[in-house]
Amino acid sequence: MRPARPAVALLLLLVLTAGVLVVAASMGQSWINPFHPADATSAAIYWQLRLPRVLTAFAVGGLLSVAGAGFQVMLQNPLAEPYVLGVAGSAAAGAVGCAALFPNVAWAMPAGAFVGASLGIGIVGLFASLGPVRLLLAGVVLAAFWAAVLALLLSLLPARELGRAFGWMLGDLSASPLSPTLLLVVLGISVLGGLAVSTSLDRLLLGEKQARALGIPVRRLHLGLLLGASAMTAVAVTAAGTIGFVGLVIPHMMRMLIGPMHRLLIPAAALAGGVLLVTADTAARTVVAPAELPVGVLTAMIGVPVFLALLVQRR
Amino acid sequence: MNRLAIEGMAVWRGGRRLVEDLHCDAASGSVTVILGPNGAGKSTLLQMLAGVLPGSHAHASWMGRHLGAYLRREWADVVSWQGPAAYADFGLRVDQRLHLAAGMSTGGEAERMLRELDVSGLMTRPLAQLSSGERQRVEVAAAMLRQTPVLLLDEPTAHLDLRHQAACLRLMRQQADVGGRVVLVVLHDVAQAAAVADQVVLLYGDGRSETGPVEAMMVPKRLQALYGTPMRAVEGVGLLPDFRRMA
Amino acid sequence: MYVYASGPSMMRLLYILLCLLACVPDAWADARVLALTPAACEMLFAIGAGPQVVGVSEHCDYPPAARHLPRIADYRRLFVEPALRLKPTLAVSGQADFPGLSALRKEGVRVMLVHPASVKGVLAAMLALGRATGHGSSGGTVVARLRRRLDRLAAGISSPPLPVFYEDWPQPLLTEGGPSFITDALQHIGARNIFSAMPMETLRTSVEAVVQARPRAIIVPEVSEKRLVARRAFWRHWLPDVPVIGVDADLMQRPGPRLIDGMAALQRRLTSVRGVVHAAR
Repeated sequence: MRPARPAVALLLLLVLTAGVLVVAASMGQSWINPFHPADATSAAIYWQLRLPRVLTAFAVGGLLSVAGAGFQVMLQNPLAEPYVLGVAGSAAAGAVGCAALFPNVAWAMPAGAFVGASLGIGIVGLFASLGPVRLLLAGVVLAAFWAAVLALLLSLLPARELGRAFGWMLGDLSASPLSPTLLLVVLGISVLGGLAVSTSLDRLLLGEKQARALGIPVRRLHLGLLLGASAMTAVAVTAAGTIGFVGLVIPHMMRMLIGPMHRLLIPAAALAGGVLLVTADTAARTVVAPAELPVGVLTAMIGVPVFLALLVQRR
Repeated sequence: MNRLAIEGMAVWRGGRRLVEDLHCDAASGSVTVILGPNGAGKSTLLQMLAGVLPGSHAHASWMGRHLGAYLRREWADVVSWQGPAAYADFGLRVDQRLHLAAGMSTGGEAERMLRELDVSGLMTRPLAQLSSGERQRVEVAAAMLRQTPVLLLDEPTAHLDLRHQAACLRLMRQQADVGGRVVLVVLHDVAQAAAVADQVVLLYGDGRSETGPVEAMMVPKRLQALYGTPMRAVEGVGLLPDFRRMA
Repeated sequence: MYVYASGPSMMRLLYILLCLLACVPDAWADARVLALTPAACEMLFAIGAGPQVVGVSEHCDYPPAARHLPRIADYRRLFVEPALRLKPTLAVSGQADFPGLSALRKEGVRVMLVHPASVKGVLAAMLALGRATGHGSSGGTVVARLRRRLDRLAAGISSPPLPVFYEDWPQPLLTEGGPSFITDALQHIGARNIFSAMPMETLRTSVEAVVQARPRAIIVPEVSEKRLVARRAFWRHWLPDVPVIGVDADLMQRPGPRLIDGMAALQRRLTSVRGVVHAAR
């Protein structure tokens, strides 16, 4: 399989996305055909529970994946992912802090997550001018700091709230405070934004100096990438808690399949990230139904074998 | 005739002043070779001229306009810069890399250049799978393919085998002679420098610098002082590929 | 309940412990006891061993006398130094590997595990604690009284079990599964946990699963009217005819003597639900 026909691959991905979305929304404890639902309850379950959740999963997966691609090219580091600069840690610390301050308030954790993520981005942004290597170091150190804050907050949290905190940290797509429409709009804007700077992103692949020699305003691009990708991460975290793996591995998978050029990579990453998370979440809510598994566990369980298979096949 | 004029430029690196008051006038159609020991500021000078590093841009001008007065975008259309390749492994292929530098410019001239540097056969290979010599040829090709009046090359013959060194030197000369470009090149091989240069800049690394025609600069006295090692001229022993006879 | 994680093996351990204890005479009247869970604390006070309790855990708030005792643990660990300073002879824990417990064991403190997985388990644990603290006879009396109350609750069951959903937590939606003592308690009052077939003590579930299981009542361990109103508003959308009943979490979620109080209160509420449903038909 040569990556010589990326347009075909993208088209296939599009078809796959549509198929997965349609099937996933119908899947559950029982199969529901949205056009011929068995009864009013089934129709309500489809339109008010499953479809919004599937769309939320798609948008969150897409956002994490595009953000991951952005961080990877910005930091020139294949191991970068949406949480590499500590955004997940600060978001989690904010969420748990808010849960401790406002026990039993449903919106406390998402609101806290958003505040925490924004704060985390703001602090990392102060170091943006140091260049990728030192920014990455600053991010990793800040991540450790936020992990410590999180551990402190968790030890102060009342026992009753702990289950909620851990549930949130493993990812939960059933209770997003942001509407799927809003999330899809954010994803759309992110993809369009990425496409608008796709040539500049491509040139970053040649290294910072070569990119600059080719006329790319590298500093400004870095800052824009940092803020943009962090904002995407913050929105995703607010909607669904911290879901790992998608943002690290989907961009790499797509590079293996259709190459590193961002004009194709960004839409492909958005689609594939969405598909992975929808698949993982559908599995999370069906395999042990009526119980559910934390979706973050399943993204890794589904994604790792696929990624390793690709890795071996590509060498 | 267009010229890249350097008047009183200084080169700093890590708080050390390597070059003070550099003067050099490089006209289109000429090859200027920059020589000097390790750490003398050759690459830094080139990167300052490329606009990659900040520096005393007021002391260099192109077509009578100071380098600092150009927008980054505009300056990128004036100079091409080849330097040490420092990309992360994201699976970029050779054709994509060339495309990123020069767009879709695949005229007959470009084809010939790629053939001469033996890059044509590498097109679909990922950069990460190339040898260092192959990668160097791709980088040189990427710089030369860009249609800019000024060409800055940082050790373009490093890692290359003899045949490709000769091809590289020949192309460099051709860029100046046929293409009418200003070529500034950092080299470590004095024989190659002597073979290709119209003008030579010597950077001593202690602030001193000298610029002059090749015959005046490439003499044992100066080169001994430059590299801090005894030298003697030997007739008929050195072997040099005669790129002027290659066609 | 997640705080009291365990499994059948823990039960077996408990029974072995009980058998061993049966052979030991009431020689522990001078025991100095640490109660490391609220349920254990309530059991100890209920059987008359309250005066011997010298230290408790953070959430031991009942009976009021327990509130003034030194706190030597929270829900995740034992504070070894202050605990040892109380010179305990017995520690009652809900968890064999409770952090800090091994240090106590090394100092010769006896450790008893109390982790009832059923209503009967609660009674058995109280008997065992009675024997261990020299209150075997008063413990027996208290347990006999509780048993009579349980019998009365059983007598109050008239119709087939009422399917109910027990909502531990709304987001993520958490509930109790088969191994939970709450599932067993519900059974004793004529209700059936709709997730009793699930092999986990606590589990995540979804609104969809609850809706499709068609519970006849939703039980929320919540006494604050404000929060109950919010949960009612939420569930009315999905299950308009199903009442949301608030219960006191301190009664229903502690496997201690007051569980029977919680069960009795809940049974009264469920009876009225049945009545309403019958009337509606």
